[in-house]
Amino acid sequence: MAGIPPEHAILLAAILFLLGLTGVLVRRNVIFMLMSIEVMINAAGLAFITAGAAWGQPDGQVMFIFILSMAAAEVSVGLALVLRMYHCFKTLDADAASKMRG
Amino acid sequence: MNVIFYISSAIAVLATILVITRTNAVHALLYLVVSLLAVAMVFFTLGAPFAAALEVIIYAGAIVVLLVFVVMMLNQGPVSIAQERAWLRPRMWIGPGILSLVLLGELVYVLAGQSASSPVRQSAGPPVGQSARSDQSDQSDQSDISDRSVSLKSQASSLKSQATSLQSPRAVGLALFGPYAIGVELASLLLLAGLVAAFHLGAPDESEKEKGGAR
Repeated sequence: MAGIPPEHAILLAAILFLLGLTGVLVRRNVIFMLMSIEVMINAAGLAFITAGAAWGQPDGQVMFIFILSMAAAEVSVGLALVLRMYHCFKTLDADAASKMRG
Repeated sequence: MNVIFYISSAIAVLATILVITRTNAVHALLYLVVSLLAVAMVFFTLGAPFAAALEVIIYAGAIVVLLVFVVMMLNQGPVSIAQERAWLRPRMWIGPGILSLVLLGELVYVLAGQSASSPVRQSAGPPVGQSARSDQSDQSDQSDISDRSVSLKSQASSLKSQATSLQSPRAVGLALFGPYAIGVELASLLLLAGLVAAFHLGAPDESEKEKGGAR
């Protein structure tokens, strides 16, 4: 608020986003991949908030609310898929579900 | 405020690193909560208290609770921790780590160039430029346009003055249900789609039902 440079906050968002990306790339457990995706979405929201604060407009927070609702929908569908996958394969290994079968 | 911002961003980064390196799912979830709370603190220091409250309530509350429920349902015991440890060899980190570091280097480079050439703190660059251009082009008779440019200039200066001020929930609500009303409708449609999809995916299989009937 009192003169935080927007670049620093954007840099924080970039670091968090890249940490989430690394998590998605490294992890094989679907639950951890979902958590990393949450981190990435959160970092995108942080970038919007930073831009809104830098320009003194409420639009950034409005976009953050949309991102929040999107994340909620995403996590509900994703977790339903995870439960389904565990039911089918008895494992959370993402590689177990690499074959498409009608 | 600055010190709080830097401390909480350091906490966020550390907690996120711990999230992606833990082998126990519950530990990772707890670190995820810490990370989200730290980001909420960052929002607060950036002058967005409403977003900070939403972050605590929806992310650290609802979404993490959903994840905790699923982790509990999936019986992530010592066996899965050992399996995670087997999957998570140090060698696995090399490729994604290098790629992410390169991306981070690019972002830092771009941000450094940005802040050197036109810092956002000289706020409202585009409006000032527009008004300057309209000043140059319409000097002759369009008094209304020059009025507009003057108003744009005053807008820009007011933007500059309130550039790092607090964004009240009232302004957010007015923007949300004013110009962004169609976005609210779309978000409600998205949530409905998520509800229907979760219901469909969570329902028991047709074939299993038939099997159960045959038995």
